[in-house]
Amino acid sequence: MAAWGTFTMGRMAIGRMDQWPAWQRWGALVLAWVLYIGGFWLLLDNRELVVRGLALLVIVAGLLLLVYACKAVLNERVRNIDRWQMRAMLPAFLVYILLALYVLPLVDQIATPWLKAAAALSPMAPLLFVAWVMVRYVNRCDEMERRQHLEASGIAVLVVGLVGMSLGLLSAAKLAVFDATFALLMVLPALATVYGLACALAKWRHRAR
Amino acid sequence: MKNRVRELREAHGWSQGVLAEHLDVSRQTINAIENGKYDPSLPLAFKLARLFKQRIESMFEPDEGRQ
Repeated sequence: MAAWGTFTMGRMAIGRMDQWPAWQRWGALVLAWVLYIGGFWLLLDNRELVVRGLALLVIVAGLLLLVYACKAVLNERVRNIDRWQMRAMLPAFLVYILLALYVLPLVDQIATPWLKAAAALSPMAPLLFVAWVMVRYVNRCDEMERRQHLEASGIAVLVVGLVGMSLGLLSAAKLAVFDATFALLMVLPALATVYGLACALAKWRHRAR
Repeated sequence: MKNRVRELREAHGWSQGVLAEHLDVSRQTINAIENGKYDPSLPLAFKLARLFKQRIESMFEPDEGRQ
């Protein structure tokens, strides 16, 4: 009972991280990044099932802390929609990692074309779910946040499109050589990264003090 | 657009976070409205007016230079 009480108090303290002193909020953000990157390092550096399971737990803890700490650094509380987004995205994220680790390496060994295509496209299932979660999340944000998301997506399309076009022109002039498969695989991560950075910048500019 | 959101919020003794919770918006949105960096939509402006029991035109007025 006492343990449950401590757990509940801990949850409440993390839930109101926006009221922590600044150094603690920034400390939590650094810890979240350490857990997140450390988790991936553990995951990719080890083949043992137990260590990989532990790494996934570390990644989940890092991601959860990252969401709370990012909000807290911006003096923002975690709202119900943020919790909903986290609850929806975390399992999808874990499924994506598991498929990438355990299903994608099997693609070369599969002979049946439709089965091979299904295995190769399997990571798209969690990604499509994440896309649906993001659309619902943005629709449930307030009006200024929706404008920020719109601006961020516009910036992402523009930056990735212009960089892609530039690299394509360099490749056409035979000044640089790019692997087409790699380039196609990089489109979504590049869009997501620029979108995330643009969103973070807009939120930092308008953060409450 | 000029507004009296900060003045009315402080008169109620509320922080930006408390007002944000009342309106179900983020704290940064309240901050941007108070600093004149974001003009709220009509539904949000009416929500604000209703919360502070004010007429909407007494809370918001256009900048002279932008008319």
